[in-house]
Amino acid sequence: MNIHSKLFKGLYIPIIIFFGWMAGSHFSWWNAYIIPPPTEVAAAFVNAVNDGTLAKHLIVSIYRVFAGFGFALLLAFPFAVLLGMNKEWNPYVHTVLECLRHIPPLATIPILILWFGIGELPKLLIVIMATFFPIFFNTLHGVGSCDIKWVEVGKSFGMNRREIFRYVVFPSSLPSILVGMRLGLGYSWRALVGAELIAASSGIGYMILDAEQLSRPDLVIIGILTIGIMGTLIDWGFFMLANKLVPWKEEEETDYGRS
Amino acid sequence: MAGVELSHLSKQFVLGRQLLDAVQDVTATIAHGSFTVIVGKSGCGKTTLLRLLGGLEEKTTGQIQWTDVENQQIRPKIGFVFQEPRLMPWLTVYENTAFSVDRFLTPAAVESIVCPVLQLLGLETFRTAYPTQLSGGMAQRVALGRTLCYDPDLILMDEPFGALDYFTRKKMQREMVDLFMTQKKTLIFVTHDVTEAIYLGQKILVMDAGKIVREIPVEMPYPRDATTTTFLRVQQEILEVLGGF
Repeated sequence: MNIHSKLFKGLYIPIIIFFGWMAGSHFSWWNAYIIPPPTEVAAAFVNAVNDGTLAKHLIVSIYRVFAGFGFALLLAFPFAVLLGMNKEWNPYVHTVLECLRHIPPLATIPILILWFGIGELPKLLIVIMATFFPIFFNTLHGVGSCDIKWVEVGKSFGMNRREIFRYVVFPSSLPSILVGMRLGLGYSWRALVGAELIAASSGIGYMILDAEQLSRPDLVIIGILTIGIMGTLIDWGFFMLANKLVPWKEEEETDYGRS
Repeated sequence: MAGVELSHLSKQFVLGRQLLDAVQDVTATIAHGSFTVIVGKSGCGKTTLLRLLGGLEEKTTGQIQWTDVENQQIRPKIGFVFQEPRLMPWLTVYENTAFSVDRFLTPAAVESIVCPVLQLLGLETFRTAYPTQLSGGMAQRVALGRTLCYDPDLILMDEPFGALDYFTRKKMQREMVDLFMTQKKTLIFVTHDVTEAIYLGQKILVMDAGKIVREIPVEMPYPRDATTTTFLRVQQEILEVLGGF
């Protein structure tokens, strides 16, 4: 199926919802305060764009996502590679990791605030926690499931451990690593907005909370839609990048990986 | 080029609580620049013997001694061609062929090695293809090319044509003979196909239950004709040794 017809089919449902929303508002099927009409939301959107609020909060959130994502990658990747290449270390860390990965990052907010206040650090830590596990487990899976047959080919050509990693294990696990990074990016976005809803003075999450307190449901809707659209755009961008990096893989259905 | 002396070579595997003698007390000499074929039924230990030679398994007891033309002990460069092509799916045909050398050399030097090999094996038109786009015969040719680029002193081959169809296999066998004539390398080839063994080998080592049960020198010129009496006599001898007929 070509990409245009796919995109087109993906737009059917949003268009139907949009027209339903217009009709519902026009015929007053619901209270305009609970679901503000599209015109009002559009006006608020133009306003938020013009006075720079939306851009300001969006940039802060994107910055946090990418900074946290970068740190998580720096932590998770080498750790997963070490464990994947030295399977005998696994039993020592397995229990701890298994336990930690079940803790939603948002559950740690109170303690993070207690320890680090309400500055940037807790938000960064939330993003790191959300991103670490998908990157870690998918990299570990990729490195661990590298076919021993390929490793033997490397050995038969006199490669040492480092070279086998560089030329065999790493490229063979790259698709898995990229799935983990893509998942992590999505998770970090979700966790961050959650954190901003609880303790922040900027960011999209804060914008939504602020709008709630000012009784501006139109702004809340803008915030929600912005999160969804930004998440989709980042994911799509990452998907395109991943396809460039792994040209040997046929385009596949979405792989939701491991986390 | 390199030759090898095997003396009392054994390999045991532990399978659950049992010990399996995969290779038992093998003593043999393989000359420089010769084409040796190891033939036997499935599970007779021929692949294990080859993997021991290739350093992919640790021997249990015995000795493997590599020698050069002057009979000096050396550590030879060994190329291994596996039963399956084992190409890296993330590399193109060109990159796969270059896989064995491109970490040492400049791109230009790699090209000067890889291009003649691709030409020799008739792969130039496929150089940008990925392994999934190749037929079985083509993929095995790339695997062979990868080993040739490595320029080993000897090449170990583990039933490399086992998965190919009859016609492709015949073609690859002819090419193998041509390669042997032009490349002047020591070749050790494992197969379960008796005809293939006689078609290729200057010396045939017949293996059964982990032991070499017969050494048969085959002094026929290449390319060999399977209908000659010598060919049929050798075939008869191998089959008798293996107790099949």
